[in-house]
Amino acid sequence: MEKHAHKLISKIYKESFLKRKLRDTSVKQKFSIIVILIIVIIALSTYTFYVGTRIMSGIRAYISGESLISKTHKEAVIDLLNYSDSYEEEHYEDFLHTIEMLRGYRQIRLAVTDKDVDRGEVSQGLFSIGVELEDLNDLIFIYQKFGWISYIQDAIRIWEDSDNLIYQLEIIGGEIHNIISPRNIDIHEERDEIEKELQTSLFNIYAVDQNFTLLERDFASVLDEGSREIKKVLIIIAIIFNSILGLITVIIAMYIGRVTSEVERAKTEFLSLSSHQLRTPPTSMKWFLEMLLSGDAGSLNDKQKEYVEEIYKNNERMITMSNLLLSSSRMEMGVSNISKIKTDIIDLLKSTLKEHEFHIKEKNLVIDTKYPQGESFAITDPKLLKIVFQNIFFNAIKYTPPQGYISLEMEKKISGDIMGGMKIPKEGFVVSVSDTGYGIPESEYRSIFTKLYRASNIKEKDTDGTGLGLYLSKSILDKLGGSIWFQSEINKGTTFYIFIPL
Amino acid sequence: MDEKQYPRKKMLIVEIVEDEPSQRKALVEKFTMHGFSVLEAKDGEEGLKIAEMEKPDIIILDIKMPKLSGMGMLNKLRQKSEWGKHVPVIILTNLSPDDEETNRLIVENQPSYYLMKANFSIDDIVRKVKEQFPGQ
Repeated sequence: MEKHAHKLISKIYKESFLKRKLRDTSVKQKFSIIVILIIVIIALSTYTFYVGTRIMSGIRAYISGESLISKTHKEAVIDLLNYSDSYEEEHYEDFLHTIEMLRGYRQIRLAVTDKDVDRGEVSQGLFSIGVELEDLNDLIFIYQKFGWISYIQDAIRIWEDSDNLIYQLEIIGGEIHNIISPRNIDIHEERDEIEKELQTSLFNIYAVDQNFTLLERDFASVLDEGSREIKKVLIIIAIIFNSILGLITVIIAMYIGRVTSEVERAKTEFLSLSSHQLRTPPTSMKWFLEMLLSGDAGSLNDKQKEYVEEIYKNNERMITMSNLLLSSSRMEMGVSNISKIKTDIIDLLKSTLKEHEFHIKEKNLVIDTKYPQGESFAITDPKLLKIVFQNIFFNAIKYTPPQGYISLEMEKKISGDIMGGMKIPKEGFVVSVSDTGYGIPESEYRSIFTKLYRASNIKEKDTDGTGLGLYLSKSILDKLGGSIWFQSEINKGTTFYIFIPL
Repeated sequence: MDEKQYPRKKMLIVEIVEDEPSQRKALVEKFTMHGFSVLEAKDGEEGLKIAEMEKPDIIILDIKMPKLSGMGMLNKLRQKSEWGKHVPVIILTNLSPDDEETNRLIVENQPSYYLMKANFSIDDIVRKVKEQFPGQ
């Protein structure tokens, strides 16, 4: 049998480090791990979402920037055409001003793609060309994180290509300026000459304009395909990411669940095994001692009988102790089965009282009982309730000096009734056990129900008790939906009240 | 001296199946002292064999035993023969009847009694056995 217990213990502890770590972690720690995991998942999802929005923002910035730029291209062309038409220097000024703006946009592109450019300087000029700082930051974000994507490269190349066209336009502008400015536009013949010489330049302007259009169409299709691709990639990443996280969470949860139930099972098995082991030697001792006392091995003299009785009494204490220990361990580990059935409380009380008959007679105590008329059934667990009654009777008898008096009363109560200073929460029975015993000191009222607690005034008088009885009784009643309380006066007596809901 | 012819009262046969040597010894001695014919076995396998061979009037059975547990033996006993189905069996154990597994086995195999060793005096056990055979 010991071998079996050893095998079980080593089964519990011989697992791999991780398993053991998981097993050693308390429920609280496991819960913290799960909470941390959830927070991590939320944080990562939020970050993914944030990155997504920034990308979208960056793309929007790029598009709005590009549309601004293409409008400005057109404006430059129109300015130049106006100049070629009106010959007024005003229009040439406008043209130069527009070229400046285009140069400004070029600076922005360099600020995004070229690390050496002073971004601070650039951002100062942003407002004048209608670009917001936020847009610049978004563009920089996209370029830094996604610059390696071919679509982004293509878009930037197209943007760079437009520099060429702007430069060509500038040259054409210069040529036209050279044709128009030295001449006197008020003289009719001069205007005819200008018109003749402008023909080539006009042709060139249209060529540049067409190229602008082509570039813009290229850009639109790159953007279109690019953003579709990015969207696809983001969706795939999000799905993979979330699936992995979800899978990990499920696996961990399942694992924890399995480990927990394994531990529960091992606990139960260990408990029942060790309690069995604990009871084995005392059982043999009990029987042989009984046989000795019965004279089965020959009659004993008085002294021998006395000594054997001492041994027998102590052995019984050991048995009682291990029974109590088993029950309270069970309660604590939550392993105790509670099976509620229709129980006759009066029957239960009577049979329990009968078990203590001998002890009562021995101490010459007077017992008074009072039971209610009519039905006395409640839905509860008779096994467990019996333990409570046994404990209370045992205490009453034990802690009342000889020739004392114990009264057992059972009454049906409804919600709102007051009994022993406590309000009854709902319909049920109250069993009260009064004695004329040593009483319980007021300062120890709360502690009396705690594990292994024995009141100070009886510890000297009687070394016998285990300190587990009341703790166990309270645990059981809590589980059954009942309650236990008492009223007491030192050296006068104690009354314990047990409430059992219907 | 009167020589009255009485039919000889048959001695009741009790089989004790218990793996703990001290406990087995105590039970064997006690029952012998009370006029029973006692068979003993130290595990479920041996117990089953002896039971089928000798057909005792009552069996006292422990649960936790090597080779074949008490419940295992009881189960086989109940299924193997008509006799096995009806022979009274008292389970005498230190295993609490609180575990689900034990409860299930009790319901399935129908012992006559389930007694917790540590809570019963050996005289009580003998008395319980005698109660099964009133008038003998």
